[in-house]
Amino acid sequence: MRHILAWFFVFLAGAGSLLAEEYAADTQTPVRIPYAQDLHEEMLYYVFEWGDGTWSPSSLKRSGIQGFMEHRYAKPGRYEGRFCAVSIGGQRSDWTPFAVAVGGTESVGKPVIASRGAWSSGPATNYWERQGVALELDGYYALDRLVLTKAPGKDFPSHFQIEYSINRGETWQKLNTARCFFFPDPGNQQVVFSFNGIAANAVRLVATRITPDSDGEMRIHLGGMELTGAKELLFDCSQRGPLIAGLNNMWYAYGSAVNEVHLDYVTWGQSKRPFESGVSYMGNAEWIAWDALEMGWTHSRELEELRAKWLDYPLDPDGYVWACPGDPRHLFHNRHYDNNACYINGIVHYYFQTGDDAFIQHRCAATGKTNLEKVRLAMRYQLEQLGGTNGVLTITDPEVQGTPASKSGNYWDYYKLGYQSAFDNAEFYRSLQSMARLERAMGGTEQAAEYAALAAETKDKFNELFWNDATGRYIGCIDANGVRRDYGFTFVNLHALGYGLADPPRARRILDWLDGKRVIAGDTSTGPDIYHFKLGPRSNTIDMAKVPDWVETWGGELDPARQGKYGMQIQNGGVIFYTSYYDLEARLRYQGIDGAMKRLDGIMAEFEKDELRRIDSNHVGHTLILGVLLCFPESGLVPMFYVDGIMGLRPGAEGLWINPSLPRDWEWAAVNSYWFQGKEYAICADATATLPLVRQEGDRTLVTVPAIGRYILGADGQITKKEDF
Amino acid sequence: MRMLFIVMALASAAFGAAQAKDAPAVPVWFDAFQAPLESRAGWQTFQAAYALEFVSALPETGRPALKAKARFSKTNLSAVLIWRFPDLQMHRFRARIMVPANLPAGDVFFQMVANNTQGDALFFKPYLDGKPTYDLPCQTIEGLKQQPASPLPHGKWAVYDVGLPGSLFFEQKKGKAAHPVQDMALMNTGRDALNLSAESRPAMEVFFMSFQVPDNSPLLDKEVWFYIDLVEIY
Repeated sequence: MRHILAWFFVFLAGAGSLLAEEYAADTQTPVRIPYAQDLHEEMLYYVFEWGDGTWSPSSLKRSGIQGFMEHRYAKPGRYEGRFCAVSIGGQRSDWTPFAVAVGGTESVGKPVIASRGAWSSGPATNYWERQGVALELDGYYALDRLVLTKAPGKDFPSHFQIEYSINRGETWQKLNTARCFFFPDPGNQQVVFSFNGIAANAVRLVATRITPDSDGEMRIHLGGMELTGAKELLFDCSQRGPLIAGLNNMWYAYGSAVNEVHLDYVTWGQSKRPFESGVSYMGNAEWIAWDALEMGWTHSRELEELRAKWLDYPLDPDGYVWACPGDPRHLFHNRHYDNNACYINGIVHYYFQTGDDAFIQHRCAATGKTNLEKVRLAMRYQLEQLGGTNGVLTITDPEVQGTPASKSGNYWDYYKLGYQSAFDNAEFYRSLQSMARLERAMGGTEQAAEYAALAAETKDKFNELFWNDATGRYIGCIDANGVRRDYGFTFVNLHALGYGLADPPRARRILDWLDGKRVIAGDTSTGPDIYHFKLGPRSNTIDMAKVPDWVETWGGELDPARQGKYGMQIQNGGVIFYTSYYDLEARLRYQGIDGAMKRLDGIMAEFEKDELRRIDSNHVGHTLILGVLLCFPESGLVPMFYVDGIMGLRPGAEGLWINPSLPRDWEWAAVNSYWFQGKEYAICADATATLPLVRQEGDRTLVTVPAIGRYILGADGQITKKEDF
Repeated sequence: MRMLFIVMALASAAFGAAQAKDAPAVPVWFDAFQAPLESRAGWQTFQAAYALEFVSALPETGRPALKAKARFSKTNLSAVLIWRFPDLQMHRFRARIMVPANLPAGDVFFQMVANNTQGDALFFKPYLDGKPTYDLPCQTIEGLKQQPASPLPHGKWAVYDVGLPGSLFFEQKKGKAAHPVQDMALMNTGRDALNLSAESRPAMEVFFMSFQVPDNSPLLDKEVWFYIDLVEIY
């Protein structure tokens, strides 16, 4: 009987391997293994044994979420692997087998940049003591993988995290995808963590809970550590230091969000406290221009997802662009009137960046129109329904009249900006410029000229209507009763300056106000207090409690004892980080690179402390004081200043404009992977170069231009110098 | 019936945890405030509590601690600390808390409410050292009841130690939570889209720890503060 049972179990084991899912990949394309485990709804991560001698854990997920883990095999062959889920509470699923047939030729990994042998911590006296071991590098590297091995005869650490530093350990940041709890015994397998390009000059492992090992000692042990990486950073420059390393990491945190914790599989998914993370994109109307700017230059799954979302994006028959694919209203609440401009700006940018003719000519199933026709219809809505032909957008929706009885009218949904809104008109101005470029690309010279002329008229009207000479800044809106609403809206002024709507004297007055050189009577926040949070200016400088009926509190209260207290709410004295992008753009335009770098230095000094992963809580439990993490994918705009500000890379009808503005002490700056119209480029602006140079290196085209001058890179890879911009 | 389900589910969770391949002899999740930046991500203030500081070495212990500042008033008798942690099944919670010796005399009581990932509120017994001096209002399955509580000692650590489900009073449906903090930043948790097994049950995700004073307390309208140097979930 015992033998029969034994054979039965052998049969089951064999059946288990027979039941393993089969996958195919090659050495250039990662395999994707799906997962969806539930461990009593506890948060969990997956540990994958790939069959090639390596293990790798996933980032933390919510129980039950369906997702994928990717792995690239170095050698062709057939591999038998398995994975299990491990919860934060210590539960573990059974192993699920899989097999992968890998084709192609053997690939070479990144070189080893640091390593060390066996290590044991000192004895700990409490389970919560932090013990760790670091690898210091001889400079900055784009990190690839950290490989850990088990010490012979010792336990592998069960609770640990991997951290990196851009200042040789002065401050450490967590690799969010490497936070391990109850980590299984890897045996003789290598445990591999991917950094995906994070820039750093030191890495460490830190134990987060120490329990007695098999020798009864409170120690952790490692057999060895090996770190691979490349000298070349994604954003690179001659002045290697925390600033350029931080800009890279800001992109990875808030742009690609590749190393962030997402409860869902996707990088645009929400995370959850205490694992607050950056997210990659939103994809809805008010984010389309930002998403296109952030993702258009990448060769990423996120860009494919955005394309799919925008391909049949819904518009009303009259051209009103819906807030999201499922509803025309913002948060099912009411219509917003920056949707159309953001849609136009985003689609035009995406088209110029990618050259995606199939997208722009795609006929939308819902509307029966091509995306090109939809963009034109969206503009017609602004011109005809909102009166834009007169050079000023006027909202006729009775719910968005800018009065106390109204609702919000744009992204800034705390304020009742409506009727004639400066923010919406600044975006309208931008959309006219986008349409002029698009029509020029489509051969519509006459239409392009009309849009350009209307843009010029809009700029004049904008200054005529919205400039407040008494305060020296732009107001928020003129409501339907003619009341001019000026509550010190920094974001309105920064958008306007970023788009070049102000003349230099006005720009100077605005920047003097923001910089605290000029105090405006009646303002709640003045002087250095406007940049109290350092990562950006307060959203408004007049406490909205002075006009409580002009605020949509979204279920909260404006009472100073409640959530709306000035400085305790992102839209009442708090900060939304993305505005720093417009701040930098504004300073570059009006103060030059020195002014922009001064602000950037301040932002990056804050980033160096904690990567801005700060969740300040107000006195009533709300954490919407600083809009950086979680539902603010637009935070990824800020590192884009490096791309379109310092490097000056902007796609247009003629090709890719390269108009660098290097800080005076930089000899060169580069973006080493930049996708333009289906090709990958490494673009360098070099102060020592006298002529542009293009050469091929594998699949990547290397472009070098002099650091001063304006150039156009055509879709054919040819580069020309331009005098006009 | 719902109560019975919750009690059974938590008892089952405790059993499940004991069956785990790496059964925890120490807490599965904790905060000893060793890394203030990490701690900052989990803690928030609410009601009379208005600010948090992370002390690197408390003079009394030489250990790091969380200092919670509060200002009680006639209309705000609870200083609540919100602690968000990863979704976890749990069977015990433990905290070391202290009312500083140099605060004015006045009784301070401690109790706790938790939310699971469904938004259900779960009420725990107040701190009790065997010498109850006060009855704190607690929700029970029959409604609001008074539960015996002891004041926290001044100037020395008190250990609040509760087990589940014995110290669990009641669960309420979402929307009726005792502390209706809806954090807009968290947005939709999307639970309905998950591939959860039929017997799956909500995990815990947040504690609300309340320091409470009576409405005649000498601590009203004064700047007061409390310390926590260890919180543990088993």
